[in-house]
Amino acid sequence: MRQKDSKNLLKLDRRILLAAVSLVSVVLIIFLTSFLKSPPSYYELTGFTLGTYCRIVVSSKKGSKVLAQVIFNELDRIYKKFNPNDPASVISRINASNDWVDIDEETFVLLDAAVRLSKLTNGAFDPTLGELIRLWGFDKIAETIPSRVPSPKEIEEALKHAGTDKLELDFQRRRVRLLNGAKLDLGGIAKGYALDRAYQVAKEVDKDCTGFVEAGGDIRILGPKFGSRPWVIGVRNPRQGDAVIAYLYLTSGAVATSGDYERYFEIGGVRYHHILDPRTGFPARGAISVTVVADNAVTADALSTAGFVMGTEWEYVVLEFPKFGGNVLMVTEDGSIRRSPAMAVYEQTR
Amino acid sequence: MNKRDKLFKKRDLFLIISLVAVFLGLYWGRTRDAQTVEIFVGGKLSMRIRTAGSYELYDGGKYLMKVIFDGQKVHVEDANCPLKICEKTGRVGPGGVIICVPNKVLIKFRKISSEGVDVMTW
Repeated sequence: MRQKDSKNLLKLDRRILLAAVSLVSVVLIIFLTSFLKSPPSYYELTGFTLGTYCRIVVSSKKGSKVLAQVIFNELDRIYKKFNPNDPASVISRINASNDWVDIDEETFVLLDAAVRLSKLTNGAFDPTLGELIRLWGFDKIAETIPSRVPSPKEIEEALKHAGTDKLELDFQRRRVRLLNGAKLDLGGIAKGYALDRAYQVAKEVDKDCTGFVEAGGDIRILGPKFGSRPWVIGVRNPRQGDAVIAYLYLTSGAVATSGDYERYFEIGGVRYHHILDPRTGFPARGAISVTVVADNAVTADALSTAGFVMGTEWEYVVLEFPKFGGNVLMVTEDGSIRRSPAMAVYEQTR
Repeated sequence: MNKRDKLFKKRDLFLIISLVAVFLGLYWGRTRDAQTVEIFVGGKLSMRIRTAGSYELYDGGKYLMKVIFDGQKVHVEDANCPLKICEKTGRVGPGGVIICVPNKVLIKFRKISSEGVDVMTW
């Protein structure tokens, strides 16, 4: 009788053990396939526009794939409209004229924003550097590599054609005029504007959509990951391409970075990059990377350029730029990382 | 205790081993992507690299660049574009991308999992 009880107990133990092993296995499989795997609801579209590589990651109940294409088309529309190298663009039309030019509302609003941001940053962000950029050879990315440092006389001459005092906006008749041969180049703001438009069209189609849009390292968040979690944004180490110097956790808003490591040439060990200082006419010194987090991409884009130009005045940038709507993470030439106090908010997982 | 009284019978062991095999298979299927480099030209997948080596990239017979994969990181050499931004990007690891705008080339090193960095700002 005792032997029979023992057998029954053993049989029971075995069944419990088997049931436990099966349960654990099933839970592990469900966990691996459901929780660790990227959710299939996010659709990713990549392509080239805005003079760079763009990536759209979006989830919408109204059709993620269609929405991604709508967003891409909007980015491309803005690129064509404001590309100074496209003879058909509105910027080329304005640059070619010495007189008043009637413009549409969208162009007027963007130019007005550019002038306001220029004044806010004491001219560090300047949308009228077209002539100077052309002189350095940073205007056409697909043709020749710049390899010559312009003479001081050439730079002095080009600077005579720059400055927002040479950009006149007529609010009554919605028109613009460039004075003294000034040329527009909206490279420091058009990408941000395109990202903000991407956000607007996405929300017009589906206000509940989530995801993000990236254009050449500038990012506009459409909504939290899976509806509640922050997107993890790595800030690239400016001297080590695949390394990250900081992690930002965002559920909304925008991030933009300006750095000296993408478009540049070197002569005699000196790096000449494409972010030009309107005060000197030479590539800006003091910073090697400036990242700005803001509520919208226009502000982030323009302030990252302005912050880079003002690299030698890093205290002013990290402490004052938050008052303009952008929190700053700057890497100075000596490799130090300087932060606005509120950046800590974005560097913590929420 | 005779043979019949063992905690595990042969068929029990078979069941457990099968479950473990399924578990490992799923796990391996996921981690294998960590060593995959995908190269897109003009938005279309042109090459998928899983083994270390040097790979020359062409588009319609036109030489574009040489892609070097050492098993851990990927980088570009001898690109035909003017600014060489793709070369200057240096060696990138899982989750990283190398972009050549003039040639419309995107080199994407697939990341290990959905955890970690979603996107880089640069």
